[in-house]
This record gives sequence, structure tokens and C-alpha cells, in this order.
Amino acid sequence: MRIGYYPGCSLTGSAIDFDISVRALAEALGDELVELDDWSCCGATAAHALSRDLGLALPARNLALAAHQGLERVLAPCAACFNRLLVTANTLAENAEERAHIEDVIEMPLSQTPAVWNLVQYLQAHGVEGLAERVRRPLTGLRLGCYYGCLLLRPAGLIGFDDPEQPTSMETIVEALGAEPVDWPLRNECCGGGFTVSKPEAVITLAGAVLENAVSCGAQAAVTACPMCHTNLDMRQRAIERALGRRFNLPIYYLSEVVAWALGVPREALALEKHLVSTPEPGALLAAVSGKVQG
Amino acid sequence: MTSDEWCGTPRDGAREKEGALTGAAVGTQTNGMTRTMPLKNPQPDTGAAVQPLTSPDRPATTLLQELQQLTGENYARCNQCGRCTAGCPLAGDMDHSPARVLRLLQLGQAERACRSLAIWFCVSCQVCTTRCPQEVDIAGTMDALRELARRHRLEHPGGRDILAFHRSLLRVVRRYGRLHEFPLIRSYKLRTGHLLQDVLVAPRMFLRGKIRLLSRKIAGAEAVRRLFARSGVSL
Repeated sequence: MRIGYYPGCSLTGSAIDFDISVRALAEALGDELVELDDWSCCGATAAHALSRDLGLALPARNLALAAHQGLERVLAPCAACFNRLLVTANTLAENAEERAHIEDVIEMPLSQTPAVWNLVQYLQAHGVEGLAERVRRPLTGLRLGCYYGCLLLRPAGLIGFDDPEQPTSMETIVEALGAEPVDWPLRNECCGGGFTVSKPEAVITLAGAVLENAVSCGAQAAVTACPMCHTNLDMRQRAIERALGRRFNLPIYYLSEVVAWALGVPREALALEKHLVSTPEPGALLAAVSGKVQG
Repeated sequence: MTSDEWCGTPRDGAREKEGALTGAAVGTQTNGMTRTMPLKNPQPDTGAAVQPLTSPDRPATTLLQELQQLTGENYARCNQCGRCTAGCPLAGDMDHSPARVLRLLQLGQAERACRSLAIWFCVSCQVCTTRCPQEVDIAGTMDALRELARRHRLEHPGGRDILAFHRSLLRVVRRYGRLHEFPLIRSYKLRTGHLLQDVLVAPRMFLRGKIRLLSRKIAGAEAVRRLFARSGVSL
């Protein structure tokens, strides 16, 4: 598959490990990622939080770039980028007057926009059976807490991906790798998102509740597909532990890391050492928690 | 000032709206914003005396009408069921819960809504919009309330840090075309005075190559700068 690639700002900076694992995963799947030429920031939350026009224009510029470059589909691994690109595409498709206005703001035409996929949809395109056939290192017995956060699922009316209250798409994928997803209530509750710098006590409370719930429901690691969630669960984990007075030591994988590893991508091609919480490769984690040696 | 001068020249095709509530006039001014959203889920004509929202002959004269221009919502649809508040992760910290903010709008108190702390503590998780049984876009309403609060200088001081972060982020994007962590954190710290925040974790991020000291502009940085100017946002 040849697919447009929109890394977004996080994946070139604080979530560079996510980018590394997505590229390694795509190579393992035999896909070509065509990075959008000279892409710009999607605006994340800040843009739409302060200005409707800016909140639509920044993503729209990238949709127009993708169309101009002849890309029919774009993979945006960051959940916020995925959300803004898709919400913008759908909003402007529904309202010709607003679309004309945004074309004016970005000085580019929007007559054609690409389909926008998140990481889970990209994996779904390969099919659950297709992924299962390619597994070289099964994750048998590994109990994973799949964490969706907010922006992969909501607003459900404009995103239209999975069930916003009882999602199953990530669990289906990790099951195909042999893992045992745990059922846990807070898997689609907010981690505190963009407040990690400006209202960190919200992240302590919210991400703290997510970590506690994952652990108490038996997760040996969490899996996420959002760099903001990863930051709040991984980078902030020590601060949360100090604030709550307990240890979690919960590795937080990116979904792409888990799938890539199961497909046989060598550990050196991933960047698990860039996580702040010590994150062993899944086989080593499995051996550590189960006491068995993995071949 | 005539209504036309107030609101500027309406775009072609601006539609007449029905079924909207009016609020008490608060003497607000717009910045020439005349693009209007098509009204979602318009109520059937019950014969009640309601004003059309906006039209070329009837531009926004109240803060509530400005809000409805941005969102296209009919806040009469909210039946105060409270699902939004029940699902809101920050409701416990808010001065007005999401349902209460909608109630203020129903009662024509848009200015109180714009002055609230609630709109700044909204983390845009979209649970409210997703769960509302009446399909009111509450999260979108929070966006619009923030935009209007800034436009009319009604921002609650308690939202200072959060607003500072959004502004710092967008200024970095306007300059470079993309967000870079180092200028963002530098700008935020200078703006808020929180100089020692995260000093313990920053080195760990830096050593892992997650924060770079040098930032580069994209080739289209000038186009992005023009986009910002044409969007009319002030930072």
C-alpha cells in the first residue's frame, strides 16, 4: 500500500519514538509512507480552542497539500492530528459557504480532500487475519490495557470510528497478535490532554485515575495510539506516583511498537529506550511477569 | 454606528435563521464577522414569537447572537438532562458545569458564560458533544465562548495559564509553521513566570532526543503566517 503520511509536530519532537515505530511497522508491512511535502501544524487543540477559522484553516492547508500531491489517503498516527484533519474535512464537506471561506483563508482549493486514517484504521486495512498470519513473536499471555483516550473516538458524529463508549478496535488487533486485552472502564476517559503543561494537576488526577484503573484491572502494560496520552501516562508517571503515593511501573507502549515487535521487527529498530518509564520489549515483559522463557 | 457598520457587509447567501432565543442587548461589537452557520436541527414552528437569528437585514445585535453565528446552535434544544456534566472530566473544577453554561445561554446570559472559568478548564475531550441526546455541540460552544471572551476581553483571570499556553503554542506555529517544544516552553515560561516548572523532567526528555534546541522554519512558513493573518486571530 502507498499511503500519505502526516507525522504531525509531536512525532518530530516529543513523540519521536512513535514516529520511529510507525515507520518500522510500515516497512514490515511492505507499505510505502509518502510524507506530505512541507506539511504544517494541524493546530491541535489550541487553534480550535481560540478561533473557529484558524481551527479549520490549519488542518485544511494540509488536506489541500495532500490533494495537490495526489495522495488519496493520509495516515495521521497522532490522534489529535487525525481528529483535526478528519473533523475539518467533514465539516467543510457539509458546508459549502464555510469551505469557500476557508479556501480564501488558506489560499488553496479544497475541492478534493484525501481520506484520513488513524493508526488503528491503517492496521485494520491489512485485516485482522492478515496481521495474525504475519506474527513472528506471539504475545501469548500478555495482558494489555488498550487505552483510547478521547480524540480517536470523539466527537463520534464527525469521527465515525469504532464505538465511542465501548470501543473494540484496538483489542481486536492485539488479540490478533496473541495478547490478552483486559477490560477496564477508564480506557476511553480523558488523560488530561493538553493541560500537561498549563494545568498539570488535572493530568495528575485524570491520568492517575487511568493508570490506577489499568493496573487494578490486571493490565501488565498499557497500549496507546496518541502521543499526548503517551506523554501523560509515561512522562508524567513518576510525578503521578509521587503525588498519589504509590508505584505503578506500568510500561506504556505505542500500538505501533507492539504490532511491529510481534511482526518480528528487531528491537533496535524501535525506540523503547526513549520512553521515560522503563519499557522492556514485549517478550521480555512477558518473561518477567510470567516467569516463562520466550523463544 | 449603524447595524451595517457594526457587522460589516454580509456574505452572499447568508440565510435567515429561525427558532433562536434572543438575549438582552449588551452593547457588544463584532469584528466584522458575518459568516453564519446554517442552523442545525431547527425547531418546528410552534407559533411562539421568536426572532430569526441573523440575515442581511438583521445582523447580530447581542453576544448570544454572535455566539449562534459561530455555532449555528439553537440552545432551546438543551433540556438540562446533565449528561454533559456527568461525563465532563473537569466539571469538578468549574465555576459553572457544562449544563449550567448552556442554561446561562438559554436565559440570555451569554456574557456570564463568556466570563466563566469553566470555558478555560474545558479540555476539549468531546464527551459532552458525543453524549448529548439533543445533539447540541457543547464542546463547539465552549470553543465559540472562548473566541468571544477574547474578542470582547471577558477572559476569567483563572484561565490565564491555559490561555497563555494556547497563545504560546500558536505563536510558535505562526513563526515556524510547526510546533517545536523548546520555543513553546520558553515562550510559556516567560509569559507565565513558571520558570522552574518541569526542570527535573526536561533534561530526561532532552537526552532522549525529544526536545531539540534548534528549530527550523518550514519552506511554507510565510504561507502559514499569511494564513494566521487571514484567519483574523489575534495572539
